[in-house]
Amino acid sequence: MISLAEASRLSGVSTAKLRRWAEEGLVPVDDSRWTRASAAQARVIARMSERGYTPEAIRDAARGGRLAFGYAEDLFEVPEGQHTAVEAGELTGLEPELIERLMTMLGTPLGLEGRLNEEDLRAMKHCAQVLSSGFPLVAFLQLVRVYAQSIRKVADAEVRLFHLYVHEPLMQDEVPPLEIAEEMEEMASDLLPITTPLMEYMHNRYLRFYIEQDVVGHMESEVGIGGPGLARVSMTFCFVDLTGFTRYTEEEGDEEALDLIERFVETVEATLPAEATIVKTIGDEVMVVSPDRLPLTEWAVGFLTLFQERPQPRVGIHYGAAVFRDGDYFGSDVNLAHRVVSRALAGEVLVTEPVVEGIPDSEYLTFKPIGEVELKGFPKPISLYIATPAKA
Amino acid sequence: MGGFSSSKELREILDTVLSEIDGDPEEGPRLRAAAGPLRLEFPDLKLVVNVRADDGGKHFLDWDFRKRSSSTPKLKLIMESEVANRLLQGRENPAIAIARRRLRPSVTDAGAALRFFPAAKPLFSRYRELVSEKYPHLTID
Repeated sequence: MISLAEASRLSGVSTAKLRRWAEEGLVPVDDSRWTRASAAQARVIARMSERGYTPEAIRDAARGGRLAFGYAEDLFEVPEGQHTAVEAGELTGLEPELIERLMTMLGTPLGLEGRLNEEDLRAMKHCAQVLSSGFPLVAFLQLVRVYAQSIRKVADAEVRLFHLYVHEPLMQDEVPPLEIAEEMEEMASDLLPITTPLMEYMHNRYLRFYIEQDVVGHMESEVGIGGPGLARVSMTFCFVDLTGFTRYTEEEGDEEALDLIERFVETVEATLPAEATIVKTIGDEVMVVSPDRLPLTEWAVGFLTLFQERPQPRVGIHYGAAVFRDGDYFGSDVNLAHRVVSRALAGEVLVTEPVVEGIPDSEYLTFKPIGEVELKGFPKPISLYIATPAKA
Repeated sequence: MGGFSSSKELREILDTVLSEIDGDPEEGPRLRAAAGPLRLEFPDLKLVVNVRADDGGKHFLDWDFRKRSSSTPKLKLIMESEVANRLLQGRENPAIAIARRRLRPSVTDAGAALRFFPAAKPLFSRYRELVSEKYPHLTID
């Protein structure tokens, strides 16, 4: 429990207004007992009011417990300090233009305001240390972008999942708003300290894995420089998707379709060869890369055998070179692999000539040529082959 | 690496591993949802294991080693015992083993494969642990 004055200080709302809001039921307060959760809700109400929400709309939201999410703000200290990029440049040794660029990459409104708080400044000092160690700027900027994109996704998912699986059920059960806020605050306080070590553990685990892959990759792959700062890597690019997925969604509904995608992606992950990696998933499509053509093609052929019913997966594989940037692969060879999968029929593994050339004497695979095929965006027809298990 | 000393040995290992998973409050329900029903056949040892969800309420899983099972499997995986030992220790990729005809699947419900492989990880890790602890002759480096 906190005093009314403390609630006023925390929420930035006058004590008189807080009393009125409590009487009107906008802020849940039991027997004039103010808590940090009710102060947090008052702060959210003040913001909603500033944004033009009517008192009726705010009241409805508050009574339904929708505003109970305001608790979370108390879990994070508001960082102090207001530095310009020039001041931050003097303190860190970084060029102000670079600081602005880094802050823009972080992309939050705080970063876009152009002012840096103490937390931002600490982060810029870390950036300066990385660059002074000799790590190239072009690579570092990509790394910051990947960090920002990934962590943004993590934070967004955390908040959305917490909302869907904790907040919404409490509202549906008609739990009183104050209880919702307190329950969520308690759970979030328990969970938040765990997320950082968990992410650190996963980061270390993946680092170990990719360092090992890189050592092997140095031995096997051809790496060239495709232009200023563009590292080109030779890779096998593979796209897997589900044919008839749109129809399946229409017939079975969104939830069933989402469930299918989750199980499909999990099965791809669970069965992929060790050296292959999922780069991204886009809806029902999964992009996989591997330095080796043979295991990935064998995997694709074996994997499709498991699916005899619709929506059946199909696979397109191409081997070529691409620019590795921001944790993704770009270039016409990647586009080609993507075009190839769109030509495959359900249950079919379609591959290009460089894949076939890399698997000259397979005991287990057969490549049946289907001729030269026109693919959108490619001026010359491309020779394609259907990969199937070799006859025993 | 040596092979199984007998069909009895593989049966004993599978029985132990499935009992452990059945007794685990997290892994049990996960494999239960995936075992809808599942049948593994090891022709060289003339051994079969049928796994399905237990409907009695006391257990998550129900399994037997009968060649004629009352349940019709939605996913059947047939493999030699040497492949099984590698596969169950995570040393053989299941999809590649299918392409190489070392593992022969029979699927009557596409969902069965989608459920089984992600849920099979505990089966593999428990098998690996048990083998390294009590059956070192089956361990693969």
